Amino acid sequence: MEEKKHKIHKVIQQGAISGEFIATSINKHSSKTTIGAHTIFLGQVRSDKKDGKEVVAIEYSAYEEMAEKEFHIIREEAFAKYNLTCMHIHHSIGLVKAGEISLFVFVSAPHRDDVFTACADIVTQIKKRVPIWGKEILEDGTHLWKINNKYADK
Amino acid sequence: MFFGELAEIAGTSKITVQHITDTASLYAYLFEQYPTLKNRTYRLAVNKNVINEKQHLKNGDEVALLPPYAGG
Repeated sequence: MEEKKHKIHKVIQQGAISGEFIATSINKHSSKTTIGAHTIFLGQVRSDKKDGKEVVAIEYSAYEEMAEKEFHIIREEAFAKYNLTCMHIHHSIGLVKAGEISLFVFVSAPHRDDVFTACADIVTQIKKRVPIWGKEILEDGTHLWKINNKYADK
Repeated sequence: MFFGELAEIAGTSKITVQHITDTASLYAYLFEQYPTLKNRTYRLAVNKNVINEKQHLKNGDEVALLPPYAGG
């Protein structure tokens, strides 16, 4: 059975994305035998130094309804643009510690060219278009607001 | 609705305003209430659609101030 492409999938989930969750997600694809290639992107919270202080966690928040709508559009666009079998996007809200995963993009297709290009494109679109914010919690308890420099409004 | 740093500045994530007929008068109201907003970067969404020009507002519209995104 082919997955229904127009169903709305909830992308946002509370807290970090675990390795077990990712492994289970991979295993679920063993019955989809038209797939020949998967790519996985994992966004991990990086412990940047800000004013000499380490980032220990990011607290994510979102305009959830708009974010889910935007994730859905990005997903539909990718299905229209590339020859994909299926696609899964998961993004955290709430507290995610440095070293933990906050974004999981999983793209599958018959052939590798589509998944490499699609996955990179989807991650770029997410960073650019989805209303999600990150409060970087520093080691001394103070915080800063994360900026995706490449896509910040000028 | 205020998000990210803007919610901190406003001290709340949601306010209800009355007698505002367009986005220009909304800005005027917000700048008076929260002067710091003047030197922050953000976009405006009306009913979850980002707008780039002045727009008429009607009763019940949901307006959101969206600072630069930081997903991923």
